[in-house]
Amino acid sequence: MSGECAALLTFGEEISNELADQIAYWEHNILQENWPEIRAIVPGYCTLLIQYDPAITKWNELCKKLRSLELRSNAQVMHAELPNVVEIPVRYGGEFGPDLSFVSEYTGFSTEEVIFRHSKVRYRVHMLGFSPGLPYLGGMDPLLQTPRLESPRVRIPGGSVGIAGKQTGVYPLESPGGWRLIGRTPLLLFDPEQEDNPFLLKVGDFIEFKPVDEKAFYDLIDKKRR
Amino acid sequence: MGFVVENHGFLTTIQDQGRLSWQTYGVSPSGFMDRRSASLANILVGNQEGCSLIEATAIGPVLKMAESCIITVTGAKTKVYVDGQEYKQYCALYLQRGQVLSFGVFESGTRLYIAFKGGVKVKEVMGSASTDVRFHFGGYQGRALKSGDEVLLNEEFNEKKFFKSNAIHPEEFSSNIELRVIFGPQDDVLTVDGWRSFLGQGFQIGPHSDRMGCRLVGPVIHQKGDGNILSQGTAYGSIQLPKNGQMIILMSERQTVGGYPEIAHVIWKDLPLLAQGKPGDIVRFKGISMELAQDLYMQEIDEMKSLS
Repeated sequence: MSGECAALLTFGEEISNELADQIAYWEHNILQENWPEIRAIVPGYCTLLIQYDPAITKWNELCKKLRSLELRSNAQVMHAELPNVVEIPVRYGGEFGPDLSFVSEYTGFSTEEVIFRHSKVRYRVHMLGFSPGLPYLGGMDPLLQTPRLESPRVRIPGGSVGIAGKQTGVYPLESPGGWRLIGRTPLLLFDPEQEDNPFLLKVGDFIEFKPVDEKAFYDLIDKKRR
Repeated sequence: MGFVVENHGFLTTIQDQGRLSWQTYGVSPSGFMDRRSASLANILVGNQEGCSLIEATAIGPVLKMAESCIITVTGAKTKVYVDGQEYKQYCALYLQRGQVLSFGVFESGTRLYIAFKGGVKVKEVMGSASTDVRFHFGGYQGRALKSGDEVLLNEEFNEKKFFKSNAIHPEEFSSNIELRVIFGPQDDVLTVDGWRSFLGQGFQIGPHSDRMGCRLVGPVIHQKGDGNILSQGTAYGSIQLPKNGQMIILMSERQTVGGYPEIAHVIWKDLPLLAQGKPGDIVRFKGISMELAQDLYMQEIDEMKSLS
């Protein structure tokens, strides 16, 4: 329990694809039920937080409903949906990724090798948070691990792609931050002006980074403006 | 039309009940800090409880009406002036075009609510009028109000209409705040000594507290482990305990996921008391059961219903 208006379901203690599948499956099933007391569902690495209105359903009742959902879910054959794969064009290095050379030195790979290793993997979006639309990604090549900056930058442009310890990710908006920046995407991960869905990614999506040259980067920005 | 901001005070924003369902995407719910005072303000002018209004932190703004309307002022205890003449809080006031609304110093509490009949008119972002101050969207151009801003209202008040309003007894906010909490989900990180400090001591509201979180300073709360968990969804009132042993209570503009252990949650009914707390005020904690917390929740809902 996370207070009297939220239930925290815990599925395990380690980050894994199996756990993420299970969490996604639960989230999907709860949303399908359309329970009126549900205010928000927030996936974590190993958890699912269910915020609800106790004026509609009390804690004991909610637990019962979740248990009955679990029984029904187990009885069903879990059919794997085709994952949604989002390609994210990235201009690596130079002014777009000022820390690429540091990552190269730290890992002992050439910059080309860093780009290759970073862009050949399919990453899973485990959750979104910290700032609107910021993906917590799983699947980075462990050999690319690089520690964060000792003192964070005050301003990082939106779209920056970075490495922080074992993780990689994209900053959707201009913000301060301590990641090692290796590139930048011209795509907007969060656009509050888009009324129906302001987000490029959702939890459960997979992403692939695709290296592009400077011309393609600016062409994509121009296309976006039009 | 609406009103012109002649002086914006300290942090004056447009808020409503917030954007809860977008938390899945990492969007802060935002919304009223003191939900109770804001709801009462809306009820007094005949609005839905969650309607858009003005929240002013620490210092009241000066507003000049560009049209006539019905307003009310709740929350922080202060003097309300219309063209320099003093009026009461917690009752509806009729303001005419050209009149100036201003406030005295805050005698108790720190969040002032000014509700307008029909609500404040802004383009909703993700279903809410609330301002997300950190990420610059929602509310008035994604920012706090500034002197010179012209804010629109949803309804012009037609004098021919009869308006009936009750007065509500003003609330007082103490600088000794007792908060009832439900323990968990990570209360098992606390050492015996940690429990003793958490429940036995008082903690000051720190100077770096804001709409995102209330940072407490005081005796260190000891925990087992390294003060990190795999990031999980957060709730309003989550009490996070970083390694340094100084608690952070997540408020309305909180981040949606967090990587610090959550030792307890402040109950919904008591969060308004904390929202009204100011730096230096003392906070103490008391554990209660889920059943009691949900009964208190229902009582609060019923009280609001009986007033509206």
